[in-house]
Amino acid sequence: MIYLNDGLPIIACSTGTTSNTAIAKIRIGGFENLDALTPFFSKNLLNLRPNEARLLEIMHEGKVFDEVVAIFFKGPNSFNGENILELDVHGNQVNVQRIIDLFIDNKICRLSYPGEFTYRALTNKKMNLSQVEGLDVLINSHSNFAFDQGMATLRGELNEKYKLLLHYFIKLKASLELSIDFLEDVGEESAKKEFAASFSDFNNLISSLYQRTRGNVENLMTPTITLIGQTNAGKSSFFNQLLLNNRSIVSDYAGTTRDYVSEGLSIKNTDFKLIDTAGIRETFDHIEKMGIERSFELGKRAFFKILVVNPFETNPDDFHLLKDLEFDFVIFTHSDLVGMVEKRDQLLKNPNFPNHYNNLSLSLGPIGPDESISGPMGPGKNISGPMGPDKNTSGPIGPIIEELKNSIYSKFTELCEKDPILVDRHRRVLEGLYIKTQEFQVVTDSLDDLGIISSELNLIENDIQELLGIISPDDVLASIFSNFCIGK
Amino acid sequence: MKKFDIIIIGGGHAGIEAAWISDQMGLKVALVSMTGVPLASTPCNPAVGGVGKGQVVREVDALGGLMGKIADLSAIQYRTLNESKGHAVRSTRVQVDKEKYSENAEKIIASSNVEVIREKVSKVYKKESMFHVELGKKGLKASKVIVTTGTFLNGVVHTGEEQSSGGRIGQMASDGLQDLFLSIKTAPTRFKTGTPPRLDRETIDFSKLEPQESDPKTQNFHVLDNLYHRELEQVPCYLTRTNNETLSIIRDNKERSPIFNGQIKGVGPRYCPSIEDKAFRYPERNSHHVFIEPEGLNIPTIYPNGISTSLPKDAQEDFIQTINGLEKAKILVYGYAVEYDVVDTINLSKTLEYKDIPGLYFAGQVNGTSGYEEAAGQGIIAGINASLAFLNRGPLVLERTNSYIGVMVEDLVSNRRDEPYRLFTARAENRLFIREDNTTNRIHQYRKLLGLNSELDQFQTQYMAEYIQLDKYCEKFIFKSNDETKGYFKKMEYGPLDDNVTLSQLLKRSKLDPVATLKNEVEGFLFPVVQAVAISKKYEGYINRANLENQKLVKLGKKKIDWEKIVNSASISNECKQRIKDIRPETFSQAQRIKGIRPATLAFIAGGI
Repeated sequence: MIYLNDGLPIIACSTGTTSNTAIAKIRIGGFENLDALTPFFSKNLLNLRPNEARLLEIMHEGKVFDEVVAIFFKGPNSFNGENILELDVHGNQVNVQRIIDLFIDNKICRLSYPGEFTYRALTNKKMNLSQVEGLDVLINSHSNFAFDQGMATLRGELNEKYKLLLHYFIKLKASLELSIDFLEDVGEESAKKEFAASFSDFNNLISSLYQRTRGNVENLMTPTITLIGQTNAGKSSFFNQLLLNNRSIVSDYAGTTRDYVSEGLSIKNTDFKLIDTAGIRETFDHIEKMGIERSFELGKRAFFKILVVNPFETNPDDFHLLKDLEFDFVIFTHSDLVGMVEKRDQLLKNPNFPNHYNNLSLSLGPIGPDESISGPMGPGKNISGPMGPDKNTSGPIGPIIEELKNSIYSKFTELCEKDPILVDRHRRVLEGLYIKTQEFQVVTDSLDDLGIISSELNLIENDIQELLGIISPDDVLASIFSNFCIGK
Repeated sequence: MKKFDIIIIGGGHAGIEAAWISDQMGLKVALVSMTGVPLASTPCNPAVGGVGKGQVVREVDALGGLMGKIADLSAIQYRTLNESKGHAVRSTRVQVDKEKYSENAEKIIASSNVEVIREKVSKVYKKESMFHVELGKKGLKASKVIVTTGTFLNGVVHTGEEQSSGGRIGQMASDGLQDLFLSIKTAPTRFKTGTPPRLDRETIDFSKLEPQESDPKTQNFHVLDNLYHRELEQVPCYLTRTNNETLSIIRDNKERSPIFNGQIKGVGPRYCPSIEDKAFRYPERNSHHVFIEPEGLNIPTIYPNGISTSLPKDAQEDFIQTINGLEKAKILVYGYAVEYDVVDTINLSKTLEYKDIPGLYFAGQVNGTSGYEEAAGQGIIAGINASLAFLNRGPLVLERTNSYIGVMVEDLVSNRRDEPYRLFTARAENRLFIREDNTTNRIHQYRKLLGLNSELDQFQTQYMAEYIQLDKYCEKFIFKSNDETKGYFKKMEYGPLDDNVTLSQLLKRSKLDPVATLKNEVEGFLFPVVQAVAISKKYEGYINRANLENQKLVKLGKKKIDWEKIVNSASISNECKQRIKDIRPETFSQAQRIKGIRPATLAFIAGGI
């Protein structure tokens, strides 16, 4: 992605262009003064005072396009340092498009690239790189946690930690210089002590930052629960059961693709993406095989993995397909049928049975659009299943689902408590830094050559500079901004 | 008015280097020095070299300068510092006989065509494109002038409460240089430099002190000299320490110390602190090293390194006598501090020419550096560039990536100094590459540009040819992994030979000394070549890795920037604008080095490249 620094005015709809809403916000930014824009409005824009909302009409060639509320932000006191005119317009997409086209066709401005307004904030020094990344997290997060962290990064809190890292690094470097340039003044002993202490401070901080980069970040931005299992194991029924009363209408998780069906599942204010994958089985059909592989990949990356097994129709030969996965829960279906317990236990004893933490058995009753499903599954059916690996309790399916949801939520909070760092670039650089620091430790322990040691230390310095955004590669910027939508 | 091609004002270390090289390049040179001041005197520590400085001496030598030669002729003790810390940080340091050093300097200058004029300068002015230097009734003129006046610019000497105007004890300050110099921008802060008292050698009890003998394995500075030749008799230095008593006397005398009672306003170097500085900055430490250094073979004074001071005379006597071995020591010259003005070096270009007055150059301590070696390095650069300019040729600028001189010059012109500048290895970004042993490799390309054909040039040509040959050989020669060679490896203690190994790979083995190993394996090459190839091979991997990582930065650093455009943009803070206006950086790396520049500003500049 190439960001043109052409300095031309840009326009975008900040509230998105996919659906009709009551109000939409259009931004025009980077114009030199309001003169060029005035002809398109019913009142003289030059009378607009900055930061004041005014009711106006957009007009062209005598025709009224829309009645809007306009706010003028005068650079450099604006979001990105440039002049910005914000227009609250009626959120009908036809209207939005017409207004945008009006300004573009009359050569007032061009359509902005995704994230270009923020890019200009970066280049105009209104935001630093870390803050932009925080904004990225903020816009794209699906959990309270991620949003909070985005906010923290936007406000520069993470940056403070990195500055501390730089401070420790400088101390470390200084103590090494002490040994080289000032040995005669300080003495061998105290120089060595100084170095060991400085290294310890630095190493501790980078290690703790590194711990916060472990784990799959996707899981915190978009926490996913996948259901995996053989065809006809009962995945889809279970899928529907989970969603009962908990379907999230707010998230954009609902979707059906060739490979899976997804919906938003809300647990205690956190939106999880619940995915029902394609049935796993050994097949010669090429297309089916690819579908299975794709959903398998999906499953691997999910933060919570549930295996749904029908003990009566399970082919143990298919287990090898799942051997690399570790499941959080295994759900055995058809627990109401006779002989289920024996079949289930047989499966559990099979050494090839996939690794898992917990299992539950239940009965899901008939699937299908006609049956009414409420409370305990099916009229009069008996649901039984252990709540843990050994127990054998019976009860309505409700509490079982509740326990499962609690499990999901507590695993999620545990992950959050580790306070993981979500910004992709930071994770990458921190990981590199951590590895280099460990390598550096090996070098210092085994060598006496201060020239080599100082050279290795300088390698670390480059990474720290990158972390603080002093030197950042161009493609990084491009990848950040591609996550933005047009208008921000 | 006698006309010269170039006039050098000041006969110190910077002055003689500038004079000598200009003479070598065929110019008609006048060297003006005040009466009663010996050429290239060593008014402080009678030593040449040290950490970072030994490297500079060798670089000056490789460019064709004098310091290395004179040091070798005058050295009475040799040491290699950081010997056990790896080849990259090793530095050579020698104690010299003060008198012999100046004598040798005078002799060598006398053997050239440089005209030495012993007069005080009363006025300097520029008329049309010629500089006029008035010496009382006489006068000189030239189109190029290099000022190397050291600490004499408005110098004031302090010994306790006594003050006198001078650049050094017993020597007058050069007030006459005021006229042209009224238009020279000096740094807003005055600098100070101090020196310890000199003791009577006969009154020191050496039996109580720890001797440091001269190291016969330390190599001479001048490349054309035999590596281990010792011209003069070698004597040891001695080590003693201050103690609680010493420090408490110093602390008790705080009000009488010109540094701490405000009498001296100048700023001294942080890393060459007076004993008062040490006493007050490190209140918990009472034991500091004191090196007892002879000032010469037949000179009665001893230089106690580590107790530089400007305390009043009686305080000096008191605290000295608390030191082990110095209980009966007599002071022959009291310690003093000199406060002086320095040129604001951001007004100099990388050729050390004063930007607003073309043809005028500044070099040495007058630029705010401390140390004879730093002065010599600047002297030779100013001399070369003034001569090249005179001959209408392009400038010679050494890179900071391959020389300490390059680091120093760029540091000086890129930032305003707020304390005296001294070279450390820490100032160079790639110590592994800028070493003593590969000086010829790094500097030869610059010396070549002078177009001279002296013995030095012939040596360098031969060296480079042999180096390339030996380097190739190390890559090509393979030790085959057979029984016979394995046995050989065992005998030589080279380690295992499980697979074929090139000579280059053998040299990289961390347990081996690469120089000794390579010496065993080849014959007929100059030892300095063997040494340099061996050490370069050992560090090759690390250097390549560092270069790879730095490529991005180096590429970015070299890019030219338009400082005027940057200063006019609305997005930079006023503070940064001011700093950029002061320094007028030409490349990104110069901008990076500006003190106090914000990372955000740098990112903005980088984005605009």
